[in-house]
Formats: sequence, structure tokens, C-alpha cells
Amino acid sequence: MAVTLNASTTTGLVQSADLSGSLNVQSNGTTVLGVTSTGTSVTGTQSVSGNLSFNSGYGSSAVAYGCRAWVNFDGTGTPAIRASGNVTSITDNGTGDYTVNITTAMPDVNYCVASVCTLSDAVVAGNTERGFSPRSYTTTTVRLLVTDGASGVDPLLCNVAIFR
Amino acid sequence: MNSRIIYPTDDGVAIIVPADCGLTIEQIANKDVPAGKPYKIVDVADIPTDRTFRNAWEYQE
Repeated sequence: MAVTLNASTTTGLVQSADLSGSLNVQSNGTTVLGVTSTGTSVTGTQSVSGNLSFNSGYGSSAVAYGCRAWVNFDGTGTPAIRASGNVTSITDNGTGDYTVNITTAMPDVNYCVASVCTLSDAVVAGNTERGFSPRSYTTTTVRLLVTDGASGVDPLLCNVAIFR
Repeated sequence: MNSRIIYPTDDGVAIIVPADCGLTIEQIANKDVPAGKPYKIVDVADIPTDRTFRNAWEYQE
């Protein structure tokens, strides 16, 4: 049990109380915020207009910087996206040459692109990982090239994450 | 999505691979095909899987 504050769409504010030391904030009967002596739990979509800070093993509470877009795709055969976030598509420009198309634009072109790819998912001797060089930054696209020396190559596993 | 968007480039042809982002293929084409470029929406099965000569592929009207 818990103290409950419910914003009802039919009766307005509904509240109940007990001695549990816990608090639930509800929207029309659905708990969206729970508070206990050990912490809080929040459900649903959260929108934080200020900075988001947390500790979580860092040593102190500090501002966290989020991944604003990411994509995992296969560049061989018929290139296909395995999963992604805030990405509308990738463009296959040629061998080892891809553009990531971002859904919600970045605020500027000074974001950080972390990218890596590999030519094989087999555990074998020799280096099959390749740099995935980002270039041509715009607020909605970034182009990446995979080369094996001077030539482009199609990587099997491609991972791109954009931070800002 | 089993569709792809193709459009011509100076070097050959570009192929857009759509993500599962909630937009239709037409909406993705409107957003991600460079302005002024003609494009076609094709079935993924129409794209060759042998990429040996990928850079030699051409766009045909």
C-alpha cells in the first residue's frame, strides 16, 4: 500500500493515505511515479528539459551525455538495418560507402560519431576490424567510409552511434 | 521493410535502406533523397546481392 494521489479524468483529485511511508502518483489510476524509502520509480515517457545527472558508479552525480542516434547494419549482400534509433535510413553509396540519415536533426554539425565495423563475425586470426571513417557531417546526415588500404570494402557488422 | 529507394549519383547509383522508424517509404524518400534527384521505389529482391562490381552499377530511368 501507499499514499496515493490520483489525477482522475472523472472525479479530479482522488487521494488515499496509509502509514506505509510510500507514495504513488497516478494519472487516471495508472501509477507514473512511485516513491519509497529506498528510491523512486518512474514509468512512461520522460522529458527532461534540463541536464540529466546521475552517479551509477561514476563516483558522483554528473551530467550524462546521450546517444542521439544509432544504427547497426549489415553492409554485405543486400545491405539491411538490424536495429536503429533516431535513424530513418542508411544510404548505400557504393562499396564500403554509407550515409546515415538521422530522423531528428542534430543542433549543429559538431557531434561525435563513434563507429566501428568488422568484415567477419568469425573469431579468426588476423585483424578483420576496420575503421569506419565519418565525414561530410550535416545536421541530418553523416557519411562513413570503410576501406581496406586504398579500396572500399563492404563490412559485415557496422555500428554507428552519434553523441551530442 | 522490403522496399528500397534508388537514385542516380555522379558515381553511379545510391540505394536507400529504410529503418523501422515509423515513416512510410514515401516519407523516407522525401526526406532522404537529395533535393531534385529523381528516384524509384523498388522491391528489395530487385537489388543484386552480388556486390563484386557495386561501383559499376548504374541507374536506369
